[in-house]
Amino acid sequence: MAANRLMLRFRAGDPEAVRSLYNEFGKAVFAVAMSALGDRGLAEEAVQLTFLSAWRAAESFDVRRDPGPWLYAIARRVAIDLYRRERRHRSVDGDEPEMAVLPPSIETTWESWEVRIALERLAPDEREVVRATHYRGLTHSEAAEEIGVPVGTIKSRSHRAHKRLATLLGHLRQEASA
Amino acid sequence: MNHEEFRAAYLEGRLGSEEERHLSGCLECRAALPHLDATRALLADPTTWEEPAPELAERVVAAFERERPARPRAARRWWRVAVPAVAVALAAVAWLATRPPQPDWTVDLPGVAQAEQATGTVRGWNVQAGTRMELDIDDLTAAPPGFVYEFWLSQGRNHISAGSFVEAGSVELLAGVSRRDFPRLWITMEPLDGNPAPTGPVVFDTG
Repeated sequence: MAANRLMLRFRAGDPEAVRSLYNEFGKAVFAVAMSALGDRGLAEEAVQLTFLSAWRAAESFDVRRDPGPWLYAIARRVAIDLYRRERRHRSVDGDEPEMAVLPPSIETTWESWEVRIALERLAPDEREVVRATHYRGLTHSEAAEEIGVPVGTIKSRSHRAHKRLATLLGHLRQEASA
Repeated sequence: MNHEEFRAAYLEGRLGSEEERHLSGCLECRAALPHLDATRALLADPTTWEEPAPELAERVVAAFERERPARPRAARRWWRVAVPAVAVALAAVAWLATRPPQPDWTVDLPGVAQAEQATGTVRGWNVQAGTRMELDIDDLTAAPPGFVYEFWLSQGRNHISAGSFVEAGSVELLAGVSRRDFPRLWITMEPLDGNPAPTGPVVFDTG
């Protein structure tokens, strides 16, 4: 497997590589942090700590591998650490073991990561339709009116987008049943 | 209709007679329904669509730039380059001025069980955020795909992860606790299964 040039440059300390890695994975890292922490300020702190931690650990990263799962593991650990830190600051009962303290939604952060990565891989107009129909609950006609394109265009963008999402996310079910 | 076409239609919320016929005769797609429902829930979840502030990218790069001078990776290569004596002396002065302070503690990590041949040393600095550590590992086989080595600080059954790595070499770690409170240092091989607890075989242990 060929070495990932971006990761080689990241490991060498190239600031542009940091920016490129952030552009590719930053929103997914943020999604993991928001899923675990539920607070924008903490989530943004988690994003900064994740990329710093990744750089500190980069010398031991195998640049032939996909950095996604590695970054996810770091993001998840950073989110857990921040969650525990915030709980310690608010806690009046110090008897609860650290290991028992986990964010309630920690089990779904992998799915949050994968869905966010998949959304970033859609074309912008496809992502716009998915956002309009799922998040905002618009019908195809309502989405067509709001976006300013014919309803047939919305339907074909929606079909393409969901076909792509099904392909990108199909492994989630296989991993869960393994 | 194949599995992928059905799943695309289901994700889109489009279940017509063709999709219903496929579902009634396909055990695999029926088994996939809970996960497809979970994906639809995530697509409708506002958290999925939250985006960081646009300026966060520059804050990440700025934080990296502040960190980078403390770890001049290029400077280490000076020792392997033949240079005139004056340049060597200047490089030595620069290195002495920028190297991190002496560690607050140093511990040898003996390899155990599957990694008896491996050796490790960890140096620790007490910092405001907890403990910063530098780990040097030799003669350890690389973690197989789907696994990482994970470093733990423990007190009894309370375990704090300080980070993970996949092969021998030098690793920087950070834990939000002090070694005084969590004295046991150990390393396990963990599967990437989302479980935050140490469950894998032990490869290094101070006991």
